[in-house]
Amino acid sequence: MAILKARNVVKEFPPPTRHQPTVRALDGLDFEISGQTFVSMVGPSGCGKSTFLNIVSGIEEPTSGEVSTTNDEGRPARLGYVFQDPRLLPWRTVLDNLLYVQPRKDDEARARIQRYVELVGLQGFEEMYPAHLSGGMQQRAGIARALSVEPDLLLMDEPFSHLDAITARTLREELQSIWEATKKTVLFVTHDVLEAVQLSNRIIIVAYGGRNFADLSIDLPYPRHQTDPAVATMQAQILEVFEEMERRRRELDPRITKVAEAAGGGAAAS
Amino acid sequence: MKTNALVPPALHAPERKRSFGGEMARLALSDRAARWTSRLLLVLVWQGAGSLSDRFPTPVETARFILDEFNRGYARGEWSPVNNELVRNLAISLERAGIAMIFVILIGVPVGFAMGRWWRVQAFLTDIVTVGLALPAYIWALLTVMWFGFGNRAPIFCAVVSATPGLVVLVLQGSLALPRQLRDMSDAYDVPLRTQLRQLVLPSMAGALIAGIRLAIVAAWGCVILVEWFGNNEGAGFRARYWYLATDYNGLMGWGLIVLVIVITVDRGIIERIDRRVHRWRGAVGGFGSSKARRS
Repeated sequence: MAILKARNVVKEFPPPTRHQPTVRALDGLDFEISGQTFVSMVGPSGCGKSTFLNIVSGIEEPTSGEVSTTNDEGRPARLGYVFQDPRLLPWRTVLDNLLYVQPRKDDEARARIQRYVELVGLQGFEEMYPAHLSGGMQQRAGIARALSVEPDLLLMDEPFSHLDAITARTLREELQSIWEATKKTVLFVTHDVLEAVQLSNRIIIVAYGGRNFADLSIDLPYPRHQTDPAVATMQAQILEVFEEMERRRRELDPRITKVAEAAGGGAAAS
Repeated sequence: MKTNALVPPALHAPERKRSFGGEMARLALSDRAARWTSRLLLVLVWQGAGSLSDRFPTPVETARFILDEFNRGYARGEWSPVNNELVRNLAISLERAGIAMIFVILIGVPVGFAMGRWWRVQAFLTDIVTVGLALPAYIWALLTVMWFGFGNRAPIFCAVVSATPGLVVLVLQGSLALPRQLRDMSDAYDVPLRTQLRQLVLPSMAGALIAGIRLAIVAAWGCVILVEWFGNNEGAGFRARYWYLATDYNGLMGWGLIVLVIVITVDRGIIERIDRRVHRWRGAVGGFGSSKARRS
């Protein structure tokens, strides 16, 4: 059963000034996600990936189209959201930040929080304020917060893009282990193809303008590492899809080709 | 301990033992030493200025007056520790300022928040608030004395109309600075509005709120004293004017000092403590005159 259904989703933002056109971030995005899958949405910056997650989470409304989430019991799915930055309340401790998003702040919630705090390796830091934690630890707290609401669907918006390479690599490995242990349905947004190949079993490629471009299945065994030859091969294949997408974009918009030619000509002349 | 091995070293830096000389040098260069040196210097300058002219009371003369005022029965009644000119007049002024502050907070906080939240409310109220800010307190004081005469209404009304606009502006700024990303996070997790108000909106506005209340207290207290000076038969302002009319410089200076001490006591004793408590997550508090102000 599909846990997330997106039907012809369009999102337009009002123009920044009166003389500019409306900004269309999503233009008919259409797909479904079934349970216990790790799906990555990959696309160039500005193609509407984060906007789509905001629509799924209810932060924003689509201009047209429909997004619906359903859990196994037929009710709207519970969502967890890991943002690019940790978005922790700076005046609350790690424990209080996790309690803040719980529908019920009872002993059961506290026990659950403790379980996920330990899962992300933050035991002993529960009473610390975010300012006393490193960027990686703050992001771990963000992941623990998302998991602690026991979501049916976990949304992750480039959660490692603000971290240094070593911390990001460690957290990616940990995320794989967590996913294998919990089998939560994940919708992971990234523009890093290698990251998507390492983590996901399905990749949806979104083109400029917020349209579906490709939907790929990644049938590689877990755990995966970025240095695995199979992962590198898969990355190369997906990058070819991106090149095809870029080629079509240039064909569709002749202005881009002209600008590129002009720039190339200028460089040759100099 | 297993977990402490992961704690950043700065949080658990071991205390170093200092020599006696080093300890004295640290004390001499501390914030506390700087504050007490400044206070002592102020008293010395005051004493020096007082010795130049008979019209400038010295600290000793002022202190003697305050003691005398404490020993006078209120309105020539029977003396008791609470029924004397100093305590009774001060209590009356404090009561008026306290009531006024309740109104200032009840009006200023929701109005400022609404102005930041809804641009139509801001458009409607901006000019009114600007007029309130621009009109000097003494104009309000004279007007309220003419409107209400003696009693409590004039000082309370004057304090409310003078102090509220400043609080409104600071609360407005605070509500405009509410972190959008944290609000989005709260909405994504369906955090109830009441919880958001208590745990997100109020703490993020606490700095602006405390600064606004701090300014409002100073403004309201000044207004109460001013109205009592212009037209009242009781209160600290009335008593200061009484001694002014009697050309008693010690009396005027004495009541000036009492008024000042009240403001400083409320600010340091109450507001700064609240500020420190509310902002303890920062690790240091940057309040005006705070000894724990950030040094970076």
